[in-house]
Amino acid sequence: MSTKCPQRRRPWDAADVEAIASQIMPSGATPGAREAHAVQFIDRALATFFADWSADFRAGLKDFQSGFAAAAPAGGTFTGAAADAQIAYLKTVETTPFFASVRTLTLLGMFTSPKYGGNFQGSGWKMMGFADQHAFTPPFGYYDREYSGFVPYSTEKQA
Amino acid sequence: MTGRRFKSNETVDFVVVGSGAAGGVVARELSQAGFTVLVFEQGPRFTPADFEHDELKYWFLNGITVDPKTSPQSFRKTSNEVAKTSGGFPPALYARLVGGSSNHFTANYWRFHEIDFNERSVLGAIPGTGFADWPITYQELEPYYTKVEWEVGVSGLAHASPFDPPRSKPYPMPPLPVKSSGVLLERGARKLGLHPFPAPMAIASQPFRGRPSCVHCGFCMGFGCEARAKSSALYTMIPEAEATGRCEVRAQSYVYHVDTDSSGRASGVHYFDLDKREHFQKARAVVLSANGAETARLLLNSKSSRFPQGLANSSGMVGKYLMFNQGSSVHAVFEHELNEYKSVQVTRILHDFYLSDPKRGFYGGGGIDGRIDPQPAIWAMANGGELPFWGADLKARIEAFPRSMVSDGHATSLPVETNSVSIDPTLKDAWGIPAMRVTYKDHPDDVATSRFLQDRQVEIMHAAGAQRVWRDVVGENTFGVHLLGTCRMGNDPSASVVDKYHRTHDVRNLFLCDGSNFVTSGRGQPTMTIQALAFRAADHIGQFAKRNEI
Repeated sequence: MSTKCPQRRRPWDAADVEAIASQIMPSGATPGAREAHAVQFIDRALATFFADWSADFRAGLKDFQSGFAAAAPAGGTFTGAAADAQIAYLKTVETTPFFASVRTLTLLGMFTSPKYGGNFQGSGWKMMGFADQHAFTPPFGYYDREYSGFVPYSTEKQA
Repeated sequence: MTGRRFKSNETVDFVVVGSGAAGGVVARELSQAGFTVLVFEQGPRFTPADFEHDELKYWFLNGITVDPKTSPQSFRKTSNEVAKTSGGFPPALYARLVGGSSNHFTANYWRFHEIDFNERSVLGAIPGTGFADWPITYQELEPYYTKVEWEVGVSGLAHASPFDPPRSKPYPMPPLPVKSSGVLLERGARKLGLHPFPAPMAIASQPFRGRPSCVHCGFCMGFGCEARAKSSALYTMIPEAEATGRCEVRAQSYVYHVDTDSSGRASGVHYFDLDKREHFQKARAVVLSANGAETARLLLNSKSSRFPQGLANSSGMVGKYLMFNQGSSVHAVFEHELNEYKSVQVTRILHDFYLSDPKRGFYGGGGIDGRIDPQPAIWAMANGGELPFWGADLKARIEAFPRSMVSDGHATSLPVETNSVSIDPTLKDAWGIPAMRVTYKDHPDDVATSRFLQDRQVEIMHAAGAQRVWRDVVGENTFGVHLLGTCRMGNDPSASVVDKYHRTHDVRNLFLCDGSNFVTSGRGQPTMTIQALAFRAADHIGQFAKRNEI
């Protein structure tokens, strides 16, 4: 699988989408949307399997951008704004369908198979502690390891 | 692929429409009884190797489920609204391949309890609903539940729950290994004086009838089993039917009309092959097992001058009383790792709140389990209620995935006449056949029951020592995976569609056998009962045929 993002023109502004995705799933001690290449997943999704979403997504992004410009006293782009300002603005739009679709796409881009362009090198799965393996054997976790067995109830009928 | 191949001009004894949980059983039982059986399945046939652990494909791109692009369905809450299609899950969500939804189900296999069959007599009428007794009892169905456990394959521990209905035999396989979610559900529930017990699951805990045991891959709900350990019709009933040499499963063949002759008997079915060519298949009798939504749609679309309201619909009841089962989810985080992405979804459940209690002020009851729902992206995307849904709080919740679990409540849906499958007046599918319209609004008691169960789930998770507990919203259903009640069973031909032997009141050689026949919803987890009904129905249908009473 190629690790490079194919360079082609997007019908929308990837920088702002990536900035929103990075606030939905921030970077830090563990990978966030940026490191998982969520925006590359979004790019591929809207061009192919979620092409149906593309028109609404573009219109939503346009509204988002003009809304931000109108609300920001200093003007400028969402991408260029400070993190606090980004978070404050996102709180005002977190119930919009556009925000919901960026959230959905970001999480799909972080946690579904890397073959769709996101979850770069399994970084989303590593962040959440999911092991991509086809078979496991018990014990599976801490609490079943220490389980001493099912103790039957006394035989009287309860109800 | 094995089995018989019928010639196009051959008249078969039985056409069975649908190859899922019910159709598979009917096909196997009737072919083993000596009849020729042709099973139609609209979807493809998969081999175990065709199933993938691809969450995007299976949950978002209709990998094995009905595709709204080619098979659209419309939805509305009440009959004064114009139904619309949406971009989300289709309102009647089912798997569309040989084996049907028994491929992608979670495989929870509770039996119904005695009360599920006569609850109307015990509690009395509920105004505004079609709450009714079944025309059969638990005792009549018990031998067939046992047949499901032993011939389809269910793992469990008999007599573990003090609320279990009587049984004639133990389970053929021990319960699956307990997971940490099961241990914690059990710990919390026992502290509260409740009675959790090992979950009965239609998944092999040890090698069973030529199939291997579960490899604990964790991809049950929404996925097909590449290990063949899940007791799907694809791996159990279908190959056994084909092995008789009297059964053909015709995949990618979409039945859209049941024909009747001048005497009002079913004469066969019209279907499209993969290339959308139309064919007619003659049959001496027809069994519809297309699921609780598609069986009703097929009948309503099978209009004729003799049956202007749709086939077998003189009562006007076809499509009515759709029930989805209500549900509630609670999320919890614990100190240590559970790793719930491993192994089957559910290992412990409890039935302490199964009975409806008039003191609560509303009708309903249910079961509670410990689990996770189900795979990385779906779990991460859960939102609503008290769950953090973006930013650092969401990330912290996701980073706690290995220490997280979910408890689900599974509850009653009252039969409400306006909750229904009908034919959309304008929408058509990719074959030009009128599409399904789903009208559904939960009865307030159903929502109240789920909220009641959710309170109990929260208490159990706290008693189990959870560090943090969140609730999902208990809301009104806009789609269902349990498709129940649209062709209800009953003794009165003016108030039901089939009799107690699954024969339609109107057409002597037409039988319906799937979730559509349910009179009440049970408390979730209907497939066990769908298959028990199918074994019973096939037993009687075979006897009728042998006595020339069809």
